[in-house]
Amino acid sequence: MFTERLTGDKSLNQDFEALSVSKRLVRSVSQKLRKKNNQGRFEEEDDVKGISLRCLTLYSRGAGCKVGADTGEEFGDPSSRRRSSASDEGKGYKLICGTDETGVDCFSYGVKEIFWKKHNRKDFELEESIRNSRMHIFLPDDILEMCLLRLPLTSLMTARLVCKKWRHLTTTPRFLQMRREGSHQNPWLFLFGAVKDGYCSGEIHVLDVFLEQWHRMDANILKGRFMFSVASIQDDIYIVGGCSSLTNFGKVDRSSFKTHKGVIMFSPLTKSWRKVAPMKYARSMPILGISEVGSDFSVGQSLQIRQDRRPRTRVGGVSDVYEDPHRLSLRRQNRNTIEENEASLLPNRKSYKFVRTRSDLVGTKGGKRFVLIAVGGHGSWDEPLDSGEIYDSLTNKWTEIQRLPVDVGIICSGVVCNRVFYVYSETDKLAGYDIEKGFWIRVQTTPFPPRVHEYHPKLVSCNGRLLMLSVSWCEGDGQIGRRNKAVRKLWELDLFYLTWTEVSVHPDAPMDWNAVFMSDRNLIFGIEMFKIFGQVLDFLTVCDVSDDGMNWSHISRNHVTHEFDASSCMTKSMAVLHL
Amino acid sequence: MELGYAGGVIDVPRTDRRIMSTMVEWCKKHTDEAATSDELKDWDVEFVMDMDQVFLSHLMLAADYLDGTELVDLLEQKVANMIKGKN
Repeated sequence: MFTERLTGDKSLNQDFEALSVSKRLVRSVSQKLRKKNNQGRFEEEDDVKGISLRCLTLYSRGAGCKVGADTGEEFGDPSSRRRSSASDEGKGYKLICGTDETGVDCFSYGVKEIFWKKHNRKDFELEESIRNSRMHIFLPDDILEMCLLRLPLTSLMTARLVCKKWRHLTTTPRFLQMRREGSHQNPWLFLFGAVKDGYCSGEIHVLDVFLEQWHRMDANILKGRFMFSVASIQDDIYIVGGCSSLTNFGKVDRSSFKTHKGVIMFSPLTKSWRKVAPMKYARSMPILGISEVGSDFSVGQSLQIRQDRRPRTRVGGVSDVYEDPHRLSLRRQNRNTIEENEASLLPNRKSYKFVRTRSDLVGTKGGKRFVLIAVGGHGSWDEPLDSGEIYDSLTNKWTEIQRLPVDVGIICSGVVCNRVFYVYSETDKLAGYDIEKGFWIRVQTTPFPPRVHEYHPKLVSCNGRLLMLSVSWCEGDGQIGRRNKAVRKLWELDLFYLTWTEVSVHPDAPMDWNAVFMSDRNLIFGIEMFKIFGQVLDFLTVCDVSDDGMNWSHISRNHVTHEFDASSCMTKSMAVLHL
Repeated sequence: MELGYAGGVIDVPRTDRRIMSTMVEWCKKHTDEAATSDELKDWDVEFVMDMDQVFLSHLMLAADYLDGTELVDLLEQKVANMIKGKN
């Protein structure tokens, strides 16, 4: 911590020199502009969307960073500034907005982190108070760092724009790591698949759960793509598969479409998109499972299914294992056969070694290694698929995994829990893919209570617990005239005894058969969208499983879907990130 | 209690009487066994309510010097709230 402080000071000194030149230039221009802007700003604060946030950045002098920094200097007209800034200050300085309408132009360090547009009234008031106070206090870096650590994401993004020092303090890996570990993060929900006027808009609607604020992002890369699946891990979201119309470009078109193999990675913090390796099979709405793995994980074990070209006999041969996962002797036998196969696949072994030496190249962001599994979905001719593949972030490759056991059927939901990818089928069968060992196990549980057939159950996993949301008929409470009604309930599977227990009842009547439920640590988020009385409504709920009561509460109602088409209900998907 | 006075004199540089007395007041309140944690929380909120930034910074420096981690945490949270735009 102290060495960092020293180097921070050194770089600060360099900054002083760099900045002092620009300040002289700026002062004269800013004087003129300030009078004009002062008036404009106070009157038009609501129009200045996002600008006032950026203008917050200006209140820092070159001379280090003060809590309660003063200067209300505004950097003026960028056209005159741009030339000087480029030469004097070198890299890292980028001008962002040139909003000629208001005449206020900001000078901001670093553009990449800006990804939100909403105007925040509270920040505006801060701006005023900063301007009023004039003081010169130097807080030591470590204390300042601890203060910045406690900021929620939107304030953190603002803080990064204040000055170079704050930006540096808040972007070190150590800071980000501390922020992650110290429970200073909050959940963010990303809603995909909005369809407007028949077009797949490529919009992503983001809910900051903590502040209950919605933001909107445009993702051109997703325009025209529908029926894809999303999965989130660490700070990224992966968009897998999907369809695009062949004839009516951009529209949801189930008559003539092509199915994608492609996978795209989205990082909301940097608002960047990256293509990762495509799948082997094109899939729409595949069931995804994502999980971190240790560095000793090997995909090689799943290669044994390469020989698996006659699935029925193979599956029949080891059906004992599938029937009863607790027959350890059989499992061991199976594992031995896998190892033998590995040994015989010499070319594959070589490639495995090759991969290991390259491991330091991958994971440039410092993220942990993870795997993404895609099973099922529908293929290029809309046929249901029973194949599965696994993606390894280390090798950036997809490898086919064992096909689902034949009797399981079409998968409607899946989630990873304790390094096992559980999937639930439309015929109420539960299977698990052991990620480490690389094979499927049929999980025999106590019989599941009858459910409403059209509503496919959704699996979620929280803190090592496996839960499921399912809609079933609830008997009326005995009073005359009270009919049976459909109720969505939350069940938990005891992973040892394999029994289902009802743990909670969802407060909303189930109107959306494609309701999406995602979990984030101890919270389960749910979104239901349906068309009623001529408009599409959205309901977001959350449940804390660490609570004794496991009660559901509403976090947002009818905020985003005003302009959505009814087909959005079918195409929607959601991801949760802790940011 | 975090601030372990061993009975000797600790020289705290760059503080004045006001700051020291405020800090002692905080320490006294927090070592008072009669106060419940809820009471303490409310008292803390009151404590930082009207502090201006200069005072806040000085107090934080002093608390940090003396390793009064609880007080430092409280003040850090206050600063974070100020950055956020709340009071």
